[in-house]
Amino acid sequence: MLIRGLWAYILGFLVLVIRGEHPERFINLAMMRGVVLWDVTRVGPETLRVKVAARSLRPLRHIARHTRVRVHIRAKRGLPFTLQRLRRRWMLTGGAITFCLLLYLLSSLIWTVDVTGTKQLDADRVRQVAASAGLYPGNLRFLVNSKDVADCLMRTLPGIAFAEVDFWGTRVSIKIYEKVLPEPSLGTAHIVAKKVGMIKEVLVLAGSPQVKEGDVVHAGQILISGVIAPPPHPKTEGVPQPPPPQYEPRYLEARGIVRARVWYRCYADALRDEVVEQKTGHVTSIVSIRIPNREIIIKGPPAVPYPLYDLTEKKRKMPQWRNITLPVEFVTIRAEEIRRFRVRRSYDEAVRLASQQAQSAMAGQLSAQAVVTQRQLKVVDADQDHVGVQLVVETLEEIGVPQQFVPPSGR
Amino acid sequence: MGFVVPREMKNLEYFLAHYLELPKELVMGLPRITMLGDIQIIVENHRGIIEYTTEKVRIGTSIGELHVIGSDLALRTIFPEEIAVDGKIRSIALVE
Repeated sequence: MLIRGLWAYILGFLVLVIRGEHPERFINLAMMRGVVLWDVTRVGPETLRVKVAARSLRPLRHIARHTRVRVHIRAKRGLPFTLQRLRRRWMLTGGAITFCLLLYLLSSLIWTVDVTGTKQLDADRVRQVAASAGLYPGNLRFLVNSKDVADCLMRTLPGIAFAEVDFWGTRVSIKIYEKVLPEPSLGTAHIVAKKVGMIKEVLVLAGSPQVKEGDVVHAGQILISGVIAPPPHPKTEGVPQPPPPQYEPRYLEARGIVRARVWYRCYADALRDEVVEQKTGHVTSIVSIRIPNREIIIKGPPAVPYPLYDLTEKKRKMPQWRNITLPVEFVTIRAEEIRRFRVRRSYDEAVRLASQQAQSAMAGQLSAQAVVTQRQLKVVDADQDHVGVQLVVETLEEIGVPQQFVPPSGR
Repeated sequence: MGFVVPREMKNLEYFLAHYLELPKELVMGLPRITMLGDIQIIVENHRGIIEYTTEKVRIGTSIGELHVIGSDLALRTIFPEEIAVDGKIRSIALVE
């Protein structure tokens, strides 16, 4: 059926209106002569509408005369007729083709080049280098190979560790990952304690140690000094000696590792009687377009249908071009229904909850390098209404940080 | 009136068609009528259209007229060997 319809469209067909006393005779005769009619419908008394292939019109005229019916052409359809019409309106055709070509041409140009990720480096310098590799606004997109541009950037600019070139339609984004260079030397520095602790071990790489194992240090105290004092004079009684040679103390950048035991204390309490919130699992999402003073909802109800809910809102804006930003936002709101209810906790449950809170508060205080050596949980106070716990954690961690100092300009 | 087929002849045709497994509509000149639910009826081996309106279509066959009664009837295709009638079909009848 589809194939026949397709052929009819390609070869062209006519919609005819047949008027006469016995249109059935006309149909039969046409059929006998091998003229194929289709979609025969009666539109009124003694009037039929039929479709017929364009090249069968001539034999039909003959049949019509024979059966005393009158044939009118109502419409001409199909490719040959469409082409004929288009040939007559060649400006329209030309315009459509020109439009397509122009659209293709303009969309294959590079319009903007974005550079992101530059910190030390100048973004304009990156643009210059990219332009020398062919990536500049106005160039044809398919002439530029993103891999070649990235290679050129990495070869030319030594401060780049990695460069990424991505095509987003007519926009090209260059992402620069700069090299992280080692920190420059501080010159002269001590190593000082950053927090209170009890020294566990001292490993000096440079400088003179000021503390030993077992010492309790406070924050800011010098642990390894960058000043190396001259050796003491040998003391001999009585005998007058020539004045000893004057040694100057040496100043350097102290380096070393100082580990100490550090204690952290954390208090948390939990109510035994509390109103808690819980998500019920019902979720409503509303998608809307927000323009100044108006909000057009595309999907979802006009308002959140829950009395209590938790909102998460995601906004998406159209990309900025030059300094023009469209004030249109796509907003996706996700509302999760919340239910409130009272809970009565037993003593054990309250202690467990409080200790969990203390643990998580503690996790925020501890640094990543700290190794926990001891953990102690104690219920500090408890009554009918609440339970308070104290968590004490002992860690072993490095507490030394370099601190610059200016040596006294002697002499 | 009408062409009367001798009984032996008819039996012979039937015999041939039956035992040689030939299509009976070809050997015996019978119309093959196919109905697709109540929306389409296809008549093969017909002898032309006798009447056509949107409510009633009469199609000539070798065993009489086939009356198709319904609403919004249209002749979808008309070939010398096949006619397809579309529409809402309410009843069909064979009238000698």
